Amino acid sequence: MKRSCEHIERLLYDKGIKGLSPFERMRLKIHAARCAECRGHVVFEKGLSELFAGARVYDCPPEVREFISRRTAGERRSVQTLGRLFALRRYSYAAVAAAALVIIFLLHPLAAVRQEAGPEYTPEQIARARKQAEWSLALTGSLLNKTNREAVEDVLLNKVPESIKTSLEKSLQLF
Amino acid sequence: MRKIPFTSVLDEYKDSVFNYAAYILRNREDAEDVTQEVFIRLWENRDAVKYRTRKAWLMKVTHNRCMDLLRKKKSAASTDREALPVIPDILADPDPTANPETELTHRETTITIQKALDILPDQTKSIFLLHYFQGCKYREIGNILDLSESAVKIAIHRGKKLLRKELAAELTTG
Repeated sequence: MKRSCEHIERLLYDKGIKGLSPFERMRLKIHAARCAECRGHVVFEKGLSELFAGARVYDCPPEVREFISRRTAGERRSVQTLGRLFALRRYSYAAVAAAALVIIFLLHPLAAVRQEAGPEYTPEQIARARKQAEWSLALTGSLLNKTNREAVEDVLLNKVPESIKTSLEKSLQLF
Repeated sequence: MRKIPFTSVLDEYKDSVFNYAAYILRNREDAEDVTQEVFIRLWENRDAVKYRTRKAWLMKVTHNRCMDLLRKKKSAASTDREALPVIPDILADPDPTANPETELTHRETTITIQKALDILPDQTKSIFLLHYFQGCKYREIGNILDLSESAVKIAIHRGKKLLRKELAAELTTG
């Protein structure tokens, strides 16, 4: 056996005729034209491929496809529904987070304090407190030699004595 | 991860699976049963089967299921001939799309191939079907049948030697 014959046999063994590159095919063709033994190999290989290519290809019957489709359809629908639900999870997470924030806000002790109504006063108490505030402001103004408004600002900035400040703070709550 | 609708996979591979089962089992009903089982198993294992390997997975499961059925049939039948008819019953249904002449040629060719495949060992027969009908490469066949690539090459080489004697007349006259 010649060396080139060995090479051709090796190629056919490794790749088969379908797996050869164009260059290898050309080499095979040239060699087969000169070598009767290798020509026999090539003819057989081609014949085998053609024989299998000529055989009938059976198509899967439509009822089999239908059966498989039906068997998996119920499950597929439920999976799709779940999928849709999971697709909405981002929105649901946001909604749950918002709801949680509202609940925390409503249930928080500070919220209860905020919602509590202040102490209730009678109209007489309010009138007395107003008068007291006016007197206090007038006194603070005269002591500081300032207008009532300027006196209030000074109170807020802690510029007045503690006794006057306390009196004013109590009175201002009523306004 | 790439997600493909199950029906697309079914439409892409149903004929390959059915064809392989039909050539191995030579019985329409058995081939139909195997096709159904294989695709239902694929559906059940859809999360485990990777996109790239799904063809190999399908052919592997089909092959294993066919071999199980063949073993059962062979143990039930007294002879191999009884278990596997030479002329597949599937050929009894003519192809409605083919003309009578083509149908006859197909029928003769198929019978020739079935007879030729009969002389091959079971594993070599599967390798030939996967290579020539399904267009699988040697490496893919190795994955499907749990063999090395070189074992597939050796089996094809030996099979060809056997077929060359059997098909000499057919291939020279054809």
